[in-house]
Amino acid sequence: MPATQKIPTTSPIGRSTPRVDGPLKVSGRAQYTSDFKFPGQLYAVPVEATIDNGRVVKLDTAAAEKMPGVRAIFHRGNIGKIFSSTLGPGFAGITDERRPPFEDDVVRYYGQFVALAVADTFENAKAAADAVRVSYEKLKPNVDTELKADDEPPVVMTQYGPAKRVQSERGHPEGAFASAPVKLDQTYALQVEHALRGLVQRQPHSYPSFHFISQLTRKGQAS
Amino acid sequence: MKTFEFIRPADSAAAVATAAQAKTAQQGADVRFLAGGTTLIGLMKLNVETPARVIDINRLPLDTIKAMPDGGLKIGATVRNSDLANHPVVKREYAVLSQALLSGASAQLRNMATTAGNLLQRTRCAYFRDTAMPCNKREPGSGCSAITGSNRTLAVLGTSEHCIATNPSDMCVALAALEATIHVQGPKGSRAIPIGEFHLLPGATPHRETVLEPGALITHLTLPPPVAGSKQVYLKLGERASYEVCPGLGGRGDLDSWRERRPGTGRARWRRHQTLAIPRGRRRAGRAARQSSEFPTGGGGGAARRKAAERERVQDRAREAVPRARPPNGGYCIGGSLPIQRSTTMPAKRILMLVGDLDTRVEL
Amino acid sequence: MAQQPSADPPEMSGRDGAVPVALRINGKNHRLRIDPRTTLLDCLRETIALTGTKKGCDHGQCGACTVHVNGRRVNSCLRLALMHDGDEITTIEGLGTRGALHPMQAAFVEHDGYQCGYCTSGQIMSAVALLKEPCGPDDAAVKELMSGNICRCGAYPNIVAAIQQVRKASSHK
Repeated sequence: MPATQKIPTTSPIGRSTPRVDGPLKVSGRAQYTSDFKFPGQLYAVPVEATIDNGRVVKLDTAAAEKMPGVRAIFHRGNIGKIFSSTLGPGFAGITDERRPPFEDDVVRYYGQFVALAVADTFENAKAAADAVRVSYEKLKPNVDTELKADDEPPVVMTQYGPAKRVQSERGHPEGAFASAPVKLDQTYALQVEHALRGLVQRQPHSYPSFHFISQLTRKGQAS
Repeated sequence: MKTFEFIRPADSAAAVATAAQAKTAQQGADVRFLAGGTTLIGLMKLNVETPARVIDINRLPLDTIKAMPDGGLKIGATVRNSDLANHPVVKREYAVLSQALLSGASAQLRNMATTAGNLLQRTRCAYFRDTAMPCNKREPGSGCSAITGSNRTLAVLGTSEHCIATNPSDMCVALAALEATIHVQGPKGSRAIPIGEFHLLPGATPHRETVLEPGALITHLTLPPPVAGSKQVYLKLGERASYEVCPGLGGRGDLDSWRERRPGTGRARWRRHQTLAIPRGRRRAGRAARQSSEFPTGGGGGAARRKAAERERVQDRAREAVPRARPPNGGYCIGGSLPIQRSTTMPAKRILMLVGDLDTRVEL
Repeated sequence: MAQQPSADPPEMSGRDGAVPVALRINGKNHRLRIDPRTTLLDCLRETIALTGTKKGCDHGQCGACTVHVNGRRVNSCLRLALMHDGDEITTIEGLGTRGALHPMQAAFVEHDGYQCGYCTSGQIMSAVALLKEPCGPDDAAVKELMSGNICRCGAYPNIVAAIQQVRKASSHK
């Protein structure tokens, strides 16, 4: 009889345990958001802003609306109310975008949705999205490095309620570096970023039932 | 994607006849041949290419590699890049071509891409591929967004004030070293084009990239007989060792012929200006690179450090490659693709000194 | 090759310019009428509803869409479905099932070669094709030949381990 006995345990600690979803994932049977198919499903492709900061001045959807298979070209003027998610306890209800799409005519970043083409097939929706003509007023972004905190109120309203404005000040990096006892100055070169922004899945709305699928296929954009 | 008519021709003559109806064979052609699709379908998705008719040439009998009576090699237009790279004769006698092909893209892409398609692949310039941005290659006269924009992976040699696009092909660099000939079947008959005369400099017409006219179908390439006892190395210097999406072939290595005679037969003018710097021993030739382009200058302490680091990196890689290429008779031949990358913050002189500090001679 | 009528309903109501094509996928014939612009990827996922193959970049860079055409790995996002009339196409669903996994699939499970699993179909299809391609014995060679499949979760070490295990097992046969 051995001095110690190994007692069988179901604890995964210390053991290599295959994941229960493993066989599903390796056989292509695990279903991700865009893998679900519904009868009569439509496809939506966004029209994305080609400026990084400014305003949409004109949105011409006339040609796109007439294209084969197109059911609608949505934009600020015709999409109706989009409900923002409300915050639940903790982090429940937080979405990536604080502002629902099409809320105003302001373009805050390159690639921001400014319209949405909805059609019976992906090919038709994409072609229609490409046919929407948008005119912009391009504005200079505020990348001011000077912070002016003195005349701003200490407490501001945010969508989470009142919050204390963070007080900040700028230091003197050149002087600090010059007087540092140990200095390390390196230059690194990075490959051009080829952002593979994959699928952005959105949950279906309760009504009307849209299944938004957006493919972000641009690469090499400066933003 | 714009809708199109998909055509599968019965034979090459039918393919040529249909394509001959195109208004141009250059940027924005209304009729396009489809082989691997790795260039064309990507550009059609971006609406950079919008052919009304697409001719699928994959089923035409252009996909074999054959030895020629003179000892050279005939490579069909639709031979897959992977098949070409792994072919025993290519690996043995034209190693630089095999290495060049295997250094680029991914296995999947190499299985799809074809010889002719690789010859005709398009620049990776982000502005060319973005129809919202002005681009003289897409729309002559609209301007070049890259010259004052994000151009780190674009050309510093062989450019013009209208266009600084690079050709991303590794295969073309090797084919230039091997002095390949491109055989084209056109509506008025066949012609043979030395590779050095195939591609055009951007000049004032960046929308014209090759000498092909509408209807011209590349049927095959030929390589001259291999030089007995030669050793070949393809040296690719990039920021990433693997699958470079944007390989930035700013300067192609000067691919001096692997024969005794040289130089300049049938090479595009601009390639004479680029020299691949290969150190031989540790001697410095002291000859600065010849180059003819203007590009913006800048400067600063940081730039000097980067320049030194970059120079060392190039030298290290080059030195690494040299012993591998040294054949028994003491000389060597290297085909190189050196992605000298332009940086808007770096002084132009850095490029000159970088290349010039290294021995610029390639000897047999 | 005998053409059997496809059991799938051809989804072509109201689509102008639809073109017929016969695709043979995982050993089964499909007779379809499709928009010529349909990529092989979208045909698999949307027309035939074989969603195991994933769309990542839709541009031939990420490899999530990797399938086999006549036994060779390709990016299905850069192929028009029409190009493959008569070709033998294999997708992840045709490799094995949950109850009868292909050795590569089993190795991925054993080595935990995934986290979110989105790249996994493409990784496995690529890896299986790699078994028939010239590849050096070391991990570096495998990594180079798998460089057309990216994994944002970073499961690369386990993916390489799974592939090497299958390669060693096959070489001992």
